[in-house]
Amino acid sequence: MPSQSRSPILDLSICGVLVGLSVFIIWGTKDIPPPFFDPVGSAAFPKYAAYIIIALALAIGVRAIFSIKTTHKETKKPYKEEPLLALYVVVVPSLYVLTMNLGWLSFRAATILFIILLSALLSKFDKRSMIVSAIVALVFGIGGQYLFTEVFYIDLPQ
Amino acid sequence: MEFFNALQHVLSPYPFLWIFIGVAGGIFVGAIPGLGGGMLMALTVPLTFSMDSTNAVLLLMGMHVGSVSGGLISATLLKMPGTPSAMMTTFDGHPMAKQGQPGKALSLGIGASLFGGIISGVFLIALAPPLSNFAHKFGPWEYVTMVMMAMVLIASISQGSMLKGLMAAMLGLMAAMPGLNESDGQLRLTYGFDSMGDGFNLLPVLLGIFVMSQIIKDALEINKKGVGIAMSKTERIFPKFGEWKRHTVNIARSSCIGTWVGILPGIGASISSMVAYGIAKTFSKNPKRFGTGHDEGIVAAESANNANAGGALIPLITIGIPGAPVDAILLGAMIMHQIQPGPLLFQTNGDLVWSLMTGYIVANIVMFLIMVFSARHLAKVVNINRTYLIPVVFAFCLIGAYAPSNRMFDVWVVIGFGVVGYFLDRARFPLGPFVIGYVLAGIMEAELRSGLQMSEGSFGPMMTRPIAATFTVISIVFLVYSLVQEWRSRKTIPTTESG
Repeated sequence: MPSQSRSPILDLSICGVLVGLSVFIIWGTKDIPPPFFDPVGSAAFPKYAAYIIIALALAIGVRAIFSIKTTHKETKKPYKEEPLLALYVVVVPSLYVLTMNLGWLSFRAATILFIILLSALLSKFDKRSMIVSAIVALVFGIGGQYLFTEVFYIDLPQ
Repeated sequence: MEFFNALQHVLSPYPFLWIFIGVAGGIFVGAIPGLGGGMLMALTVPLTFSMDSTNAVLLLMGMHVGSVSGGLISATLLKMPGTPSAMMTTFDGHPMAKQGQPGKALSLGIGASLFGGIISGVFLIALAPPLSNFAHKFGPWEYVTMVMMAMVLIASISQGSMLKGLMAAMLGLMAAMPGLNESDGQLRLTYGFDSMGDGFNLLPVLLGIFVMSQIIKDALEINKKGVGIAMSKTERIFPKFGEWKRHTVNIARSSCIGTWVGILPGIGASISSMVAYGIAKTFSKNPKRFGTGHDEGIVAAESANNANAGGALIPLITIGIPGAPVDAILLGAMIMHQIQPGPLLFQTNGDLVWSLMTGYIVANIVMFLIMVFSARHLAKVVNINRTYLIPVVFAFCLIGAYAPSNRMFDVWVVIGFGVVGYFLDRARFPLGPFVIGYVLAGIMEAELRSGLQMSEGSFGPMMTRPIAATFTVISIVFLVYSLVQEWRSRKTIPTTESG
């Protein structure tokens, strides 16, 4: 089956990032000492994998360049995509993890705030959804802390 | 004899309870579009640490069976497959439901799932022990070439481009490289960060790829709604015997296809149902009715995708290679419970293997009963509000990643791999090969290094040892064939951007 990429530009961007990543890995393998017991050593596997990734990225990239002209207009979807909400789903959890990682908030407090905030953003501050999400947040924050620490013996951030 | 002992064990209260919970949870999650069995299993693994290992494996296996079947509810009633494996069911299940027969569509799907599951369970019990004995002959080169074959197969058969499949497999392999190399105790690719000493652990990577990338996608598509079809209270869901008699050949053929595709390392249930659907259409007396609500289409797709789950357990148990991406989670869970799948598993953990195989058949029967009695009610909750679901799922992710080693670094890994998985999926790089590449990287490197030590640096044994040579030839043939096919189809079909 042929590649039906959503966008050759996205393919090209990903390939560019992957080439950069591979170069970074090849550079990282230079610090690995040479093998002692076997003919391969620890550096060979990631190094050759990186070479293969570069070769594949170039092949996909060249193909994407040739397909830019022939790419047809995207079929209209029956629903509207929300890229901003997708961004929130990355940013808000990152802040949630950061607050616990830096020891600013306990799991319980951070979870309650996180669920309320993210639900509010996802529902675009719909009042009814926010009331329900506040209840969910309290139940999960308090109940979850109890369940996971007392029943499953998981040492959550305090 | 082992079978009956295992059956007795599996039917005792605790193991049976875990199977029941697993199947029920799997059906529920599988029925909700945007969630999936892989997600539920990955989130559950950390909660099983304090459990008996057999019960933990039965719970996870039950979830897998349940989720594959649960997908048919939303596929039929909402035209949104709850799991990718139910995609083919939408083609005939939804039109049949639209024609006023949602109960019949569900009953056909549920019954086909049961038969598919049981037939593949029989294959599993019949094939796993002799294949395990055969795998005792495997040395390092057999493993290296088999892993190579698995990666080529999954990359070429995955939906989309072969090059992208290979790239995904290589990226998965690369993700397993940083940290301590177990072959020689050498640290590599840590770039001076202490946290990288352990590398990217299995569970955070799986949670990132299976769960985090999915919730980013769910948020992006939050306005996506299914075309709901209500079921009347009098609608029959229990399958009629007469209906099944007509489908005997279709069920047997599709279940064998599902099992066989499942045995091929690394290939998931969605491919099984596609192949079975296509073949059922070819052999049908009414091929034109496929896609319009034809019962043969539902039966083929559902029996194949359930049979795939059983088939995929065969390479996992006998050689330690996951038959499908979701089985990578089961493999990870087994390793975390100090169980190493592979040829020695029957000797080291015989009771567990027999319980797993017998439990698989019991799980399919439990799935049938739960589906028959609850599908009507489940149909009402499949459109659950994702506004509440997404934050709670991430909170579970955090606990799941953090719990095994109490490291926040692992939670960052979930977010990082989630973003990577999202962009790869968006650009249609299949995620299945990524997971398989990640899981198999360690085996491949260790076996390659030990093979090269034995052969004094020569790759010759790849072609001089009969089993290794067979795997090598299959890999090369598949690779060349797939690349040629892709090149030809690209010359004839212009690239089209599609949703």
